[in-house]
Amino acid sequence: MASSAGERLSVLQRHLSCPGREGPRRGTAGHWQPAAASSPSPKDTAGAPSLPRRRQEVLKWNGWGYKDSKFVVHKEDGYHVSFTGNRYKIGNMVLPHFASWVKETLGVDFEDCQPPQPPPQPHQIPQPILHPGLLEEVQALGLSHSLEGEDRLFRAHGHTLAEIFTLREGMFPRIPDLVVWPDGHKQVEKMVELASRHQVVLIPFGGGTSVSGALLCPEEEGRMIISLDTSQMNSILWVDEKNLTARIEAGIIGQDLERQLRARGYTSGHEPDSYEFSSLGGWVATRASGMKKNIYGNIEDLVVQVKVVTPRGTVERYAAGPRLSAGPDIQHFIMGSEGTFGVVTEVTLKIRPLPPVVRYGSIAFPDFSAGVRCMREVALQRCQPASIRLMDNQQFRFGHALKPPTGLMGLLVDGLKKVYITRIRGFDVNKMCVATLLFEGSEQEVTAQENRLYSIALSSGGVPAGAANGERGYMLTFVIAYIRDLGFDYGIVAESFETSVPWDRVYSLCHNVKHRITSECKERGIRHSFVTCRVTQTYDAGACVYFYFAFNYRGLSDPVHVYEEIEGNARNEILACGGSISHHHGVGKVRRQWMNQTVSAPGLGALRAVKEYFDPENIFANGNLL
Amino acid sequence: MEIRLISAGHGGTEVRAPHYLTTQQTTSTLSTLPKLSHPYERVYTSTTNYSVTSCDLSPGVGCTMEAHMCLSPAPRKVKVTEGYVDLLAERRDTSDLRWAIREWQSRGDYRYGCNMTRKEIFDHVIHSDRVRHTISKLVEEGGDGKALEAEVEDILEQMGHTQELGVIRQFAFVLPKIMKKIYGKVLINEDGIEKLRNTHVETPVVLLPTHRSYADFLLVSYIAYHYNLPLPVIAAGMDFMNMAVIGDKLRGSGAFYIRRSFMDNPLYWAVFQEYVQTIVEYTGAPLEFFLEGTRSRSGKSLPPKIGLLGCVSEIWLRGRLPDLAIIPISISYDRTLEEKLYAYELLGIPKPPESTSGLLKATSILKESFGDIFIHMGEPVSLRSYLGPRVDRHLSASIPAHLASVTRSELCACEGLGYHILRQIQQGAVTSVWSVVCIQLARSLHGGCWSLPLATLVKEVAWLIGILRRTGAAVALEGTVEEAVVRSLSVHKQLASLGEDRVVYISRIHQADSHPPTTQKKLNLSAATVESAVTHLMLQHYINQAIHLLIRPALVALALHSLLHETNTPHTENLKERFAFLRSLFWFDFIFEKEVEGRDFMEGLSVLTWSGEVSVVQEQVQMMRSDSPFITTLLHLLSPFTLTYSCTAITLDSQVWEDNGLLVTAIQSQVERCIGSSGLYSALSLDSIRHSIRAFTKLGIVTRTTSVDGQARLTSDQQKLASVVNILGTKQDKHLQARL
Repeated sequence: MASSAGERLSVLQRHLSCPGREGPRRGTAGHWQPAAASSPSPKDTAGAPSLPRRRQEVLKWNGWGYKDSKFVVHKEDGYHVSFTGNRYKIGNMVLPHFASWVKETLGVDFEDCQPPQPPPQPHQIPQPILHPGLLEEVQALGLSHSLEGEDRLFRAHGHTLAEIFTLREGMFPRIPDLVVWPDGHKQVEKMVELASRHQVVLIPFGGGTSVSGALLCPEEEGRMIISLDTSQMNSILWVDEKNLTARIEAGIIGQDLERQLRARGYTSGHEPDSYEFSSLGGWVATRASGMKKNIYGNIEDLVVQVKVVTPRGTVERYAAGPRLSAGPDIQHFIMGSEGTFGVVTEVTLKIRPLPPVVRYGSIAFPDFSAGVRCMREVALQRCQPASIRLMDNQQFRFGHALKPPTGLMGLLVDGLKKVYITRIRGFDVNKMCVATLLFEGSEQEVTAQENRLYSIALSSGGVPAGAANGERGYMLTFVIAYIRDLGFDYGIVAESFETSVPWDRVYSLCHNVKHRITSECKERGIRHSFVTCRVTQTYDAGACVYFYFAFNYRGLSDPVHVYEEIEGNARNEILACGGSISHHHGVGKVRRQWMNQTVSAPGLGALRAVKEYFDPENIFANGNLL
Repeated sequence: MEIRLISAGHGGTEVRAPHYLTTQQTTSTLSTLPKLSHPYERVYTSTTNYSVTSCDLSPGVGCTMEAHMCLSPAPRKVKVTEGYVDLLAERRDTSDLRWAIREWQSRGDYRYGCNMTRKEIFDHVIHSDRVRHTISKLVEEGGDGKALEAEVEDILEQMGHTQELGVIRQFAFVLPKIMKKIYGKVLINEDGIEKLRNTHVETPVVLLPTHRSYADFLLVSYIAYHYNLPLPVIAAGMDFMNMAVIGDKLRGSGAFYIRRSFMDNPLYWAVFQEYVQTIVEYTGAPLEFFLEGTRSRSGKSLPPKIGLLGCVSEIWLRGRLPDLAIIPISISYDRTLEEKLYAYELLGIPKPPESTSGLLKATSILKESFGDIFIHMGEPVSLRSYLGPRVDRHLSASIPAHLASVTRSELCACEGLGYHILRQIQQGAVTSVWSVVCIQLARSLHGGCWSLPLATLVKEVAWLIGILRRTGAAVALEGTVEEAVVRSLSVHKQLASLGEDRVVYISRIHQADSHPPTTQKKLNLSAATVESAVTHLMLQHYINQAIHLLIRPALVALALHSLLHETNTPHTENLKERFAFLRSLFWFDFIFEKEVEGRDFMEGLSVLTWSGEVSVVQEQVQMMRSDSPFITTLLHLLSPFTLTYSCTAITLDSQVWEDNGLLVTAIQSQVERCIGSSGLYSALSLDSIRHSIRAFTKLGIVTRTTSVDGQARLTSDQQKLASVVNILGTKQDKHLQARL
């Protein structure tokens, strides 16, 4: 809390000088953020969580995100696609170019729609395996819990293609038998003790946005499985404005954390693409990375302390100093442990004052290799803005397909821009690509950053292409996750995966992986596929590359299996091209097979030994990572 | 202009199914040899509509094999492989000049390639990490940086190609003129051209043609010009460069020159690698080189040289390109320009160095006829698909590319790829009727007959073509067998001519005084031997072009033959073991793929069982009859080779040899002594002698040791030598064993 009136005033001022932070639709200077509520009231800025305990009331049970936000197809002289709801900037708008793009790229036939199965009846959901006596003890502890099928099913999965496909067309063979909602560290301790005593399995569940199969219940698990939902542990315990840190319960989801910090004039600066739904504990458990890591750092840079309940007891590092030389950092065992050691209950996180100025920008490049050269130069000179992302040509064109209708002026400006870039600069629309930029800081800082960046861009053959393009790029990140659900209806499966790679191999990795996927598709008789990548993060020694891959599976009997084979081969290609197993999605179950190649056999053995010590009876038996 | 070929099964409905097993054997054989039908299916996978006669096992259908083999009329003109088009047909009607100056634009260029000038390529090489790193290491060792940089430029100047359409046009003008004069048709499968074009758009291609003749050299470039394909850049040996005018013209048409050996020169090696890789990775121009490294004098495929292949593979191994497509190109000549020269070379009479005047002298060949050429552009082989499962690329993926040289196991995989490609090349080759004729002529020669009636020859050729056809071979046959035999005799009239009396007379090519006297002095062999041997080796050159079709059954037959000395009904496992030994013994003479020993065995055995001369009942192998024409033919095919290898064993046994040329000569002399009445003069081939030494070393029968005085010595394991001679059991075995 601000301790003096003067400080409080300055915080307020920073807060006020950042216009448009409050709501999604008000963005004056083109600023935009997704948010939970469409009409924010002053109350919203207080601590109330955006999602109810029964999340399925607001979120889709079988797809991504909010129930009210989705792509829909309607027919009136031809097919049109629009996005519903008013949570996002493209909400309630017809997207005039999208339907034809989908048809052309993915061969979609809009007549051929296959909607998902209806929500399962109670009898269709696997019956819970109950450990005798355990339920009574849970009740005795006063732990909030549920045996309801809907609650258990919601916590049986993350968001990989295979999981969503199962929700739409089948049923998981194994789902949690019981859901408990501890209200804080103490109750977690009791729950872990209880589970150890009764030999039942605990699977921690945060935001449920995993894309590594981490939340799936191992099929062969015979013991009772309890999903430990952290969502009710969601308060900011304290804010230390002298040291700019905050102690936060691990179940808080990103948007609530940001909203509450913002109300006090701060930000964590951690903004992964899933941050509307993903939780702090989940970020720690998967070594998450946020879009603005250039300013604020990744989760391992942001975390000061963590508190974890393991069957062996609570693990903590007591010092809050900025750096320690005390052997291998015990907190680094926790970060990325993917729920195999215990439950993260509390985290001390760095916070920063809100930036006064936030601006978007973009740069167009004649081709992808020019773009990569520019990114490398920016990293070399260490002048990255808050975010810089390079989209390849396919993604650039995809972004255009999602353009909302523009007015006459907009048309005129767009037309002029196009003429300038294609005619005067001689860019080929089928080769050019775009980098999107996000600047944060004081007015001078931002202006200086802009100048420096655009001059590097110019020397790499790029052209500044305006703020609107940049902003749309960042918005797409959030809505792109919704497109998959539409695709399913029309025989399209889609997924994303990512990697990190040294600079000199960025271009060849992108090229090779895209080529590999395309030829793997051809070999399997897939006629329409779409693969695109973007360089999303830059570091001194390399970059993070993010791939989207979709294909039309009409005519294939087992699209999920086909997809998994292709992604597996794509991962092999990534490793062969010098890429890594994952930059921030984590390993979970779907990438476990490459752990040995990644950390060597003795390294893997050491991790197993740590697991063996923390959790000798394998209470945290989600089967991830090891 | 199209021509028809015959090959496996395409006439499935017309040709009666061979009944190759007797009823009671059918089931047991099927259960023990489940892969029986595979070899047939495998060979011609590129064609779709063939039915495989070998699958038809129903008892009582069709005639017996014996009847088929003996009574079979000349194979009918079965419609099989179409799509071979004569490149020269159009040239014969229209102006060559207009053809050479027509508007020319390539179609099917590599999508991600960039046009680089000679200068830009040089700069790229000079500034590459690898070359700079090599220079700095040499400087550390005391080299002079400036001098080394100058050396790099010199190497590049000497190496670098220019590719000028003008020069290509000159060749496009001259080549058809020559070809029209000496060749009948130049036939090519156009579907292969289009596959090449489509593949090249996405991934750079590597063109790997067979190397049987100098004529190969510009053939692929000419084809590229003909079909508006991207023009290939060709790796050529230094010896061409020094030819006046021609050397420069070749450079201008896209040839770059590499030294024959430079493994001990790190700077040259670095420049060479970067140069090749720049061409493939950045310009994306098709790279053409000869996998066999040199023209095969013997007509067989030579074991692959993996230097260039490894260098190209490195691009993929280090993740710099997603894939590379390798196009096996089989070029089959009815008659090889150098047939006579080769025979002398194989006997040990050295070739004259390449020179333009030599080429001009060779213009006398313009008066002769050399038949047709068949060019088969094979199915593209994906480097990634072949090497992918055999290497672990991620192990070196975090080392800077120029420091991560190709590892031993990666090279081993590349070698496997080399053998795989050679097999593809063999399978794409179109077999000339003349090769089959030569097999029968050689048999006659071995029996001491320098003439035989045409009717006998035709009958035997037809019989063998019938068999080859069923093993999946494409035999170029127009009209009846008799017409084809007569036609091929007219092309090869110097070697064998048809008399008025319808008897075929084989000529003694070598006249004691005709051959250049300069080389006479070093000759190891007696004049009488040479007189016969030249003819023999010329025939063998053409036999060898078809020998890959029968080598698997032949080695099984040889294995069986040797086992039958020990037991009456050998077990299949023993047979397989013996086959495996022979396969590795003859590894360098005949091309086998790594890892597929079992498949080769099954393929060989199934051909034998299908012929009806061998049966397998409950894992016991039996000869079905005493006179086995097919097995006799197969053993006969191998006889020159078994003689060579036996003689190698005997020679090695006689003393400890120093590792120099003397051993080779000694073996050749031994062969000469052993030929005796057998007439197996082609066993004198230095090619096989060298291969045999290499194989003996690889199998550990011979070990190379370096003594104190630095002299390499070959010590041999006597027991193993004796067993080799024993197994090979040539006709002279009594004679040989007595000596051991």
